[in-house]
Amino acid sequence: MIIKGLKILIVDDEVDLCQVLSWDFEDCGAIVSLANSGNQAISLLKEEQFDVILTDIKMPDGDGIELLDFVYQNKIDLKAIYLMTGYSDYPVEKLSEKGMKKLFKKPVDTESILEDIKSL
Amino acid sequence: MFTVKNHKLNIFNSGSASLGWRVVVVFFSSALFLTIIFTVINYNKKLKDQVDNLNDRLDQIQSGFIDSLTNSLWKLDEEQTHIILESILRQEDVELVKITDKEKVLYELGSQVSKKDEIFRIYPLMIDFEGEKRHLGDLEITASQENMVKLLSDEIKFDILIEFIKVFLFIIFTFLYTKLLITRHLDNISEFFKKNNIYKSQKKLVLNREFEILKSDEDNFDVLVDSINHMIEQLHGELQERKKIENELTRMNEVLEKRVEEKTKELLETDRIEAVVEMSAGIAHEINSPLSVVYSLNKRLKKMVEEGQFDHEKVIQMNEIFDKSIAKIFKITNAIQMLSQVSIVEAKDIVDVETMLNNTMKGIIEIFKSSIKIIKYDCKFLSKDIKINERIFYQLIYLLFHIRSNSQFKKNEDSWVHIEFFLDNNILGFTCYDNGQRLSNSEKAFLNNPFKSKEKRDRGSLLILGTFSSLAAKLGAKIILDHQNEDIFLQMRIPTEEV
Repeated sequence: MIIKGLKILIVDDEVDLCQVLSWDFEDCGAIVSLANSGNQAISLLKEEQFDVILTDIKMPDGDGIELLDFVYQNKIDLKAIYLMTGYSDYPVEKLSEKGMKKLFKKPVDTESILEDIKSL
Repeated sequence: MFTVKNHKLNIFNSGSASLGWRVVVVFFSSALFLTIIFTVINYNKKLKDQVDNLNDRLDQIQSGFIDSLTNSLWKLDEEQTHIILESILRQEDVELVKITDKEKVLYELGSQVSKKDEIFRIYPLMIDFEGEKRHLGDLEITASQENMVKLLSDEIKFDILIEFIKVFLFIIFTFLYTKLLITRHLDNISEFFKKNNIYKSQKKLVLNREFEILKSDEDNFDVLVDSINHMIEQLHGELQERKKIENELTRMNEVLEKRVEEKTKELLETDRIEAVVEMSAGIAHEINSPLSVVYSLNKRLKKMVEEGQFDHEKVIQMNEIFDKSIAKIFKITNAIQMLSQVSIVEAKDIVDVETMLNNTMKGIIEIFKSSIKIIKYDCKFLSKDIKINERIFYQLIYLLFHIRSNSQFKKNEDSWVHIEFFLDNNILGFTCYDNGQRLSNSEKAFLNNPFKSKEKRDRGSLLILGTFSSLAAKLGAKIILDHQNEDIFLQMRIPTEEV
């Protein structure tokens, strides 16, 4: 898949991480939107269409799993949803059942995310 | 014959004086009262008998002397008349004899008697002459009771004296025998209970008898002593039983305590491990976010260097993000460091409350002035020394502000914190007012008991709450979180020692 023109939503309460990730994706020609909580992301999803979501799991005001549930339950049309976590104590299989494409461990390597998107 | 051993014959000794006197007085006065009553009754009876006797004797005078006296008067035989009158006068208790004729005294023998003692009789002297009764005069006899009364009263006095001595001796002997047979045994029994702790000693109560008595001759005291000894035996039996049960209970308690201790240790260990695991996860998550930023920025910089493309503005922006991320990592490592220090620092310092609070708050304001816009505090105390771990206290306040700075709704809001410190009977307390986000119920539960909470740690903030809770526990502080006032973030009461 060509990254250029791809609409990506990055969700993380760590504003600086959102910023840095957005630079990496923007460099590849993606159109990046940012949200700092799960609820903020849901609001954006109600207004806009996105191709890929990259979200952190642990966040105040709606976490990444709630966001995944929202996408799954509302059958929102997405090419992929990726989750990020500071530690890996999550049932990956269960998350995959709900539509998670991949779980990335922090510190995240943007290149590996880009590679995965390209392989879609 | 028996002798009294170890026995104080002083019946009025201090131990029994009140009872002794009371018994003597009551017995003696009652006996005396009864003696007097009966003696008076007896006296009256005797007096009545004596008077009756006197009357009888006077009646005998009438039959024995009246005829001969009438004849001698008729014959004008003065000598004979005198002899008869003297004979009458010699009669017992007769004091005065007169012959009168129409108020004219013809003869008079003896002496006058006081009116109150006298018994007076008058007999007419009549003679038959030629078939006609002629009145020659009257014989007046006056007897006196004085002598009779005197004799009787002497007799009564003697009787009373005898009765008095009898009563007195009877009481003394009664008392002595009471003492010998009853009181000394009672003393012995009371002395036994005074000297022996019946719960500890198994010594038997024995009557202080000087001689052996047969079983059939045993009196109430022997029965009482048997009952007491039986009671002591039973008591000892029960005590032994109770002691046995107590020992068993103590042993069971020890076993239980040991089991509880082991179980608690086990649970605590499990909880601690769980807490450590969860805390580590929190730390990992918290520290990995800024690390991700550093990692990505580093890669970007590397790329920029390789490509030789430097956007000056972007580099400055990247540098700022670098600084922020490193500061975050620094803060987290600081918190971990603080947690490790908590377990080491235990000693209490002697500090002046006001100085300590001012120093603490000056440092706090300096650190948090960038994240909390207005920090105010009141600590208007008289200078007073208390004992407190100053370092832990400082760390506690530091963490309070740390929690507070993370609980703002928005990073750029006009946040304020106002702390009121107070000292109340060696309780150093404070109320933290603010306009930040309230702690959730699960966070409150975690703060009160960090090792029991099953709440998942989030963003490492519970690591800070756990550290805060641990510090509070080290100070023996009580965290109060239920407030009606919505401006109150948290209250705390820390017990301190007065110097």
